[in-house]
Order: sequence, then C-alpha cells, then structure tokens
Amino acid sequence: MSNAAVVKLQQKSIAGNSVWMDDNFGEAIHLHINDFRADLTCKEFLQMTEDACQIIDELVSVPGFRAADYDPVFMEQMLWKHLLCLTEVKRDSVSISDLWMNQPRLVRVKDSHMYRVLAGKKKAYKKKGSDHFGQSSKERMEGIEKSVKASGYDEAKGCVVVYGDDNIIRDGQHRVCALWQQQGNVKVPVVRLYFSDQRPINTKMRSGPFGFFYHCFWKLGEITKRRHFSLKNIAKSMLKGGYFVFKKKRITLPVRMSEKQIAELSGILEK
Amino acid sequence: MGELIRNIKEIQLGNERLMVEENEGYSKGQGKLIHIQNKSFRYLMREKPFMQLLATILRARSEMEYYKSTHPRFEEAKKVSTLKESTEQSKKICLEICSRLEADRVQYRVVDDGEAFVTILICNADYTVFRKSLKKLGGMKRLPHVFGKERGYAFLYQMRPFELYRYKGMLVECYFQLPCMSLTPKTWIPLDRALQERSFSQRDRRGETDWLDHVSLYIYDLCWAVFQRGVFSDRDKAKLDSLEEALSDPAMKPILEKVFFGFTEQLLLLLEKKDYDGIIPAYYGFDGY
Repeated sequence: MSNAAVVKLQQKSIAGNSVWMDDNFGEAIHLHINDFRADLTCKEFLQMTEDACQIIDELVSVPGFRAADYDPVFMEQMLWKHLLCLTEVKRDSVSISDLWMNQPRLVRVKDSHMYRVLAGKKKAYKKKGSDHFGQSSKERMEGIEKSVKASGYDEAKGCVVVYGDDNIIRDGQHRVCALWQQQGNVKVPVVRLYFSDQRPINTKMRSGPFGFFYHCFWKLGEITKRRHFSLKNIAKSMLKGGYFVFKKKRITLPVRMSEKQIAELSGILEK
Repeated sequence: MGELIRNIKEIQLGNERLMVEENEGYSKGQGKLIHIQNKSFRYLMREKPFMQLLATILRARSEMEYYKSTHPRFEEAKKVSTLKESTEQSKKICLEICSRLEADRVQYRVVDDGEAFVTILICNADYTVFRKSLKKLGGMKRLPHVFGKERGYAFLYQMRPFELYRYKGMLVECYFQLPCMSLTPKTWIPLDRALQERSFSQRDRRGETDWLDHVSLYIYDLCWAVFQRGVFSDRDKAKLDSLEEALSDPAMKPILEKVFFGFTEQLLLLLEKKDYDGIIPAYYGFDGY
C-alpha cells in the first residue's frame, strides 16, 4: 500500500524539471526531481533547509543579507528571482504613511483593501485563500493581528521589505496594516534591497487614476523581454490549449444531483 | 568536469556526502553552473533554477512546520454521529442481499450497517457475478456515489470505484477493496494487500451474514476516522471499544505498520489508553521518522 498520509509540501516546474516534495507521515520526506527521488528523515530534511539557507547566503554574498531573515513564502514567490542581482542591503526606518501597497494600482496603506477590512470599512476579503498553507486570507490576517497586538512589531519575525528607494512594500503588508490599525502612523524598520536588474518604479504614474493600465503595460513590457516570447508561441499555446480542452480531454459534466440529495447521501455515507 | 570557481558547501544526503560547487558555464550566455556531486554522482543545474530549488525547499519547511504545529481543522459537528443503529427491517434487507450473494457464490463481507444503509465489501474477482446477482434481486437502483468518480474522486492503484444502490429504501454501498482516504484531497487508495487478503480469508459470522473479522474491521474503522472524517465521533469510539480484543491479536501490529509506519508504536499506546482524541494531533505532529 502506498502511504495514505501524504501531504504535498511543494510542487513546481523548475527549468523544465518536475520538482515536488511530499511528507509521507511516519515514513520519510521525499524530494522528487523528475524520476529521481531522495528519501529524507525529518532531521535530514531540517538539516537540508539549514544548508539551503547557508548556500543562498554564500551565492548571494552581500553584507547584511541572510536568507533566514526573510519569510520563506516571500522568498519562494518573489525574492529568489532577483537574489543573484542583489548588490546592497540597507536598514532604514519609514513612517507607515510613506509606504505604498501594490493592489495593483499603488495605494497608501490606509487606502488599501487589507486596512479597510481591519478597520471594519469593508466586509469581505478579496482572496479566499492565502499563499500560506492551510490558511485562508482571513485566518492569516487574524493571526497576524493577534501577533501584532501581543508583541507589537517583532523584527525577529522578519522586517518589511522594499526594493530600492521606492517604498513599495514587497513583504509585510499584513503586519503594517495591523500595526497602523493598532498603533497609528508609527515608524517601522524596513530592509531596502538594491538589485542591479530592477528599474525604479514611477510611483506617481502607478498611483494615479490610470495606474492599473500603466501597470498592465509595464507587465507586458516585462513579459516581452522573456526568452521564449513571441506572438507565434502565444498563438501556438492558445491553439494547443483549445485543442486539448475540446478534443483530447473530454469534459465530463458532473452528475446532476440536487443539493438536498447530496446532503442526504453525504450525511449517511460519511458514517 | 567544468571550470571550478569555488566549493560552496558540503551537504549530506542519506549516507552520502556531496559537495555543492560553483562552476563556470560552458558558453557565454549560460551563466554559472552548480554541481552537486561526489566521486560517483553529479547533478547539474544552472544558478538561477538552483536558487529557485533552494527557495522551494525553504518554503516546504515552513509548510511542514505549520501543519505539524497546528491541529488539522475538522467540523466540530462531525464529533456527534447522527446515524441510527440498524433496525429489524434494515437487517432483513441486508440478509436478503447477502443470501442472494451467497447463493450465487459471490464472496462478500459486511463492513458496516445502520438504519438506512449497509456497506458491503465484494471480492473484486467476483464483480461480474455480483452484477448478475443484483439483476436477479431486482429493484436495485444505481445512484452516483457522493465519494465516487462521478463526484471527482480519484481511485488510485487500479482500485475499482465504489458503487451505490438504493434497494427497498435502503442505501447499499459496495466496495471492491477496503478503501482508505488519502490526505491528498479527493483521493482513495486501497488499504494494504495483507489486509485485503485477510478480509476474505477471515470472517466473523453474525447470524446468517459474513462480516469482516475484528482486526480488519478495527483497522478500517480507525482509518476511516483518521483519514476520511478527521475526527473520532462518538460512534467511532463505541465501535472501536466494542472491537477492543483486536488490539491483542498478533496480526494487528504488522498490518498497522503498513498503514501508519513509524507512528504505529505510539498509536498502539493511544489506542490501548483509549485516547482517541489524541490520535490525530499526535499523528500530524509526529516527526520521529
């Protein structure tokens, strides 16, 4: 029997290789790269993560940078892309009112969706799920709110990260919103990361009434710089996707059952 | 081979020591290359994808730490079972179905029953004869199973999907292998082969129907509560208490090890103490492997 208790820790494609990690409870943690698999005990896996932090620090080799200081989710989603171009790390202190949030038009913290929800001015969160495992956006926000209430802004848990001098929060949006809501417009310690491959962002344009469209054009400009971009490739993948949906993969509609029927059967069959 | 720039760090993978090296790329636009190697083995990656791999490993750790320290969520309401026990009428219908199966020499075992349902395990090899038996019974209406393929559930390792019928007002649920819900969402897998074989080599004759033996039933009920429902309801606890003698059966531990692996010793202690509510948090938090 395969282990029933398998939790997928991560799964992604890296340079065309299928990479995934899963935790097989009671058995081992598996690291898969295509058909290659490494079996690790929990202790070995934790040691591997310590080694990973040290290797990142060595590869980056910028004074003041330590991989362990940054949120792993932020590292995995955004930071890794630019780390090899990191040139300088500075510590600074900025008032919350001077910070921007990317939504995707740039807004000040007090105008952001997150802050308005905390202040009770908005009802629902835009995103149901968050990027953090097993937590909805709401749960994450509530957890951070409690943490900030209990211990204030704890630098040990990670600083607010901005790139260069643009004051746009790259990591730490939730904490900053919770801090403003509880303590008002205070100064927060931030980490400024300077990259050789980052162009400065025109905050005036991005925050203006046409900021959304400016952001879209900027994003399009970034996409066109990618190696495999071409109209031909886009057309190809659209056709391929369409063919796949309509020809190769038969769409099977779910069996029609009323909600009442489903509830009745589930109630019995769940035992 | 390749031009070594520097050795970054020595790491250990199992019993092997590997060196992470930074090397020059083979061509101008390739960038730097990372070799992870020892005398017998080498894995090569470009620098940027390697950075992505490292970030992925760090993220995997944070995910693991989260669910190991947080109890899995379950619906509080699931702790109280709303199912009613089987009645004379439901037992009569169950007997009717089982007698038909026995007459047609279909191997079966009753797994569970209640006022409105019966769950029967049918030997997969007898599937064709089983379908003919149902036709002979008459009045069997096939329904889509709420945990079946029609509802988006996957059945791995060539497991035959569940079938659900309505017969004289009762739900007849048919398994073809003892199932276990995987923690991978909406995925069923068959319980270990040793248990599948035992389920038909042993039996518990109750009246005129064959039930699963106490060890198979205990493990099935345990896996159902841990993996499918995520909580032990009062009904689960009562059933496990009634099958208590299965714990002292020598066949129990080897089969449990195939399901729970390194957690088995701790699990047996919790089961002996009847600390059912402690099982799931302990299982998720277990890191002794």
